[in-house]
Amino acid sequence: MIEEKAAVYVVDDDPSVRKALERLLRSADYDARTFASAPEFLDFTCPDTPGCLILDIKMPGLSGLELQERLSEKGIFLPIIFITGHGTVPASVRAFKAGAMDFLQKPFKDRELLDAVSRGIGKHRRLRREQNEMKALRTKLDTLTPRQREVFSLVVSGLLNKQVAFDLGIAEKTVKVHRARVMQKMGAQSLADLVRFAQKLGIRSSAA
Amino acid sequence: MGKALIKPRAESNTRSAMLFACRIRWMTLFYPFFIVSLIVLEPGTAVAHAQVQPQNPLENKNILILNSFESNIPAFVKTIQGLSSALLSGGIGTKNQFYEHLDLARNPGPENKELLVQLMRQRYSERRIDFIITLYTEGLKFLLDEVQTLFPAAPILALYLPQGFEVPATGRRIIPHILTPDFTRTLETALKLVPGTKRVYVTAGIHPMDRWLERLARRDFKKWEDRLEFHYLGDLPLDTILTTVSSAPPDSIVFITSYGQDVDGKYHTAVEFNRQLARVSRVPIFGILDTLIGHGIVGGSLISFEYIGTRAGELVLDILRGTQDEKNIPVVLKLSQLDTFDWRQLKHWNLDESALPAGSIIVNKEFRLWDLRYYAIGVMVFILLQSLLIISLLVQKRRRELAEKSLRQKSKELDQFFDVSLDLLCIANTDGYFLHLNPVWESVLGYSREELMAHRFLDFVHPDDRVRTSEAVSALSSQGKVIHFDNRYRCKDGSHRWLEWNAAAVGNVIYAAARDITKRLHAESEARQRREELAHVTRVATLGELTAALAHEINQPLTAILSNAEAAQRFLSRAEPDIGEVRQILEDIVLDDRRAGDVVQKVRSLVRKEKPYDELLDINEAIQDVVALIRGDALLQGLSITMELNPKLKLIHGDRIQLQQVILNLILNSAAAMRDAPRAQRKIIVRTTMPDNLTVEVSVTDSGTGIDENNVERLFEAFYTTKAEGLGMGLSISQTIVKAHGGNLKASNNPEGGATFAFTLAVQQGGAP
Repeated sequence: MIEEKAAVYVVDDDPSVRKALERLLRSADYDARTFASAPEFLDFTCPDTPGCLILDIKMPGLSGLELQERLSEKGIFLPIIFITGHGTVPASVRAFKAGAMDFLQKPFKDRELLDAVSRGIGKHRRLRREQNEMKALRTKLDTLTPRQREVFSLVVSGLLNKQVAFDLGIAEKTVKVHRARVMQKMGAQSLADLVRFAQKLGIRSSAA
Repeated sequence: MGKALIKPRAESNTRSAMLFACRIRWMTLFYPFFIVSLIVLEPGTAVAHAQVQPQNPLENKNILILNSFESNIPAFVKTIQGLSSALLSGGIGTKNQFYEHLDLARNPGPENKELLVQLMRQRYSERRIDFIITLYTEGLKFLLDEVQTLFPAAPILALYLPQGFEVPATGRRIIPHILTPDFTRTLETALKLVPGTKRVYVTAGIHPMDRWLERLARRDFKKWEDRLEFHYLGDLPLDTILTTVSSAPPDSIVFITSYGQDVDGKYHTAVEFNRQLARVSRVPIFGILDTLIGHGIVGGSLISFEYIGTRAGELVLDILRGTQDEKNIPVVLKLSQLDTFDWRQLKHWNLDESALPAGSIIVNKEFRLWDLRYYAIGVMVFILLQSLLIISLLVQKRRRELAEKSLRQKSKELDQFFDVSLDLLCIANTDGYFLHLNPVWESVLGYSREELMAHRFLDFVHPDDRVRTSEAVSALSSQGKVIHFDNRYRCKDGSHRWLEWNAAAVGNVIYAAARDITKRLHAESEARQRREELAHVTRVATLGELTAALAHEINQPLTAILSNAEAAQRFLSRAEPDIGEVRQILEDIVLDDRRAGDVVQKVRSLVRKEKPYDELLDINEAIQDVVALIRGDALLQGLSITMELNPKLKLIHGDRIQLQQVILNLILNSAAAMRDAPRAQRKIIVRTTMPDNLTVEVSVTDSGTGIDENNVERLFEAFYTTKAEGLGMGLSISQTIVKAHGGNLKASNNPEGGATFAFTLAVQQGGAP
């Protein structure tokens, strides 16, 4: 499977650092895009490709840490690699708490950065895959009738058909029909698949 | 004549009269002085007086005084006054003076003489008479004619003989006294006193003496007869005389001679006659007899009977003593009259006192204050002086009392202060003992004052401080100025207290005040420690920020350089390297490197902005300040800091504060290096020298652990430290400062252990002394 070309975004107020990082990333065949400030990056609409973000912690205006928070709010979950001239413990703790991938101290070896970038992109790929899967599941879930949904949630909570029928006040036979439709619509081969989907979708047993 | 004044006259035979008058004057007028002189004069004077009195050689001499007439005639009474007192003063007492009154005027008959002769025989045949004085002619005649054999050898002084009297030759010594009345002088004076005089009434009696005197008057007045009208009343009865005088015209005067017997044969005395005359006379009366003074005459050149008596007595004494040269004993005694005037009469007749002859005696003078002015002033001045003396003595006494009182008060006050002082006060001697201590000593040291005074005070001084203390004591006694020092005293519980002293010495006594500074030293040390901790924290924090900023500034270009270089490597390792790209990268690397260099340059110029303050300074003074600053701390750590400062050090140019920071830094480093050394070895020597004429060297030597020889060159690098809590900036900063001053900071180990840090500074050229 051929992977999509990943994009690396660099936000640093220092133009020469920006330029050097862009070159380094390009030399490693990354699609590097640079931004001089956090607001500039926020205005940019990222293409739907795997990637990661390299952020200088200390920047005039909006700092790297603040930008990270804004992105979280927007639902953009680009892995972030923080780079800093002089790392302080509180800053790094804050960054990691907010989901920073890596924390590099300037100046750094190319390997350190490229490894971090590759880890970040890998993570983003997984993330994107999961997001896509979820999106598909939700689409399938939306095709279910309300009754089928009820049956779905009761079945995944481990109840037998008989119990489901009793709970819903319908015939066991009807439960079997609904169950088959759910399996078909959700594309599940087995009950185990169905349970896994339900977990991902966050469906809880309505019986409990 | 109780009171008399005399005008000076240089006439030899009036000397006694003047002395006589002077004695009275002295007695009366100088009485206050006399009293005072008795008080003031030394007691020897009285003894001297007593010794003047010789052994009396005339004690047993008998004198016979033979008076021709009655005992109560005034002339006789006056004569005897003078004579008797003269004889008494010569040692011939009253018992040896024999008076016989022949009363021959009233009893001229031969029967009377018979009786007198018998009486004389009766009285004197068995008695030796050494000298005889006769009064008037009759007495002398009687003596020579009737009783000569009774007194075969006694010399005779015959008083009151008329002129021309022939002394019979008897073979014995007879000194006649001839009366020489001076009518001329009296009249001359009278005419001066009463200038418009036209007539002169001359009174006289018929007694031979009266007649004789009248004859003399007529003879003397002859020369005035062409100018004046003389009326001689000697042949008139008493009443007629009085009537004549009472009707005398105003331009007249009366001249009275004597009046022994009137024309009716009745006996009189001149005094009584004169009184009657004065009562009726409307013009001034003049005379020749001093017996009449006070009885109505103005005065004149008077025969003074008392004076004659005195002189007669003195002559008798001279002859009896035999001390006087015979040549000086007169053959005939003649005595001049005394110009004597009655002041009351002068006033009564309104006569001008200034017309009197010089040396006149004025009697009955009523003293006016004006006449007494000089004496009064003298007395007042004396009293004033004495009052001043007394006042000044009283004032002195009062002042002394006040001074004593204030001294007592002051001493009491000082005692009070001594007792209430919060400081330790003491008086000690240079032998090393306390003499006096105030109560604070007991509360501070716990010893009783008796215990403290029983030992030498050095026994209570901390062993480490004894040498210093005894040096201070000897400096005190030799220099005598106030000395400031501190030492430790042992308390009774074995602990020690730090005392700060101020002491002065007077002779071998030391006055000293001490203050317990133990608490203060601890407090200061604690405060300093806290301050230092704080300073360290601040320094670390500041440095942290500084390095953060610095790191960011430098890391940016470094990051760019590194990334660019690595990107270039990657590009170059590709199959078809993009040379254009690599060239661009290299250009950027150069730019970034330049940028990094700029940052360093910027920091350097930032530091350089703090240009050292340039002043001319004495490095010795700067060192003394620093050592004074940390002495308290050094003492507590048991550290001794010795200064060996070259007094001939030249001045240098520099920043005092920065250089003091360097010195302080070096001393603190040394102190830290000796933290683990035994107390006795903790010694720091701060030394200044002049290795050559242009260089001043400051060195700080310690006896600590020394320095790692391998790391000598790293010592002055920033952030290099061997101390756990150090930042490693001290020596680096110090070196920077010294270099900014054109010097160099070096470190070396001492052969005997410990290290020496030294730096040199260039001497100020030219202007400095």
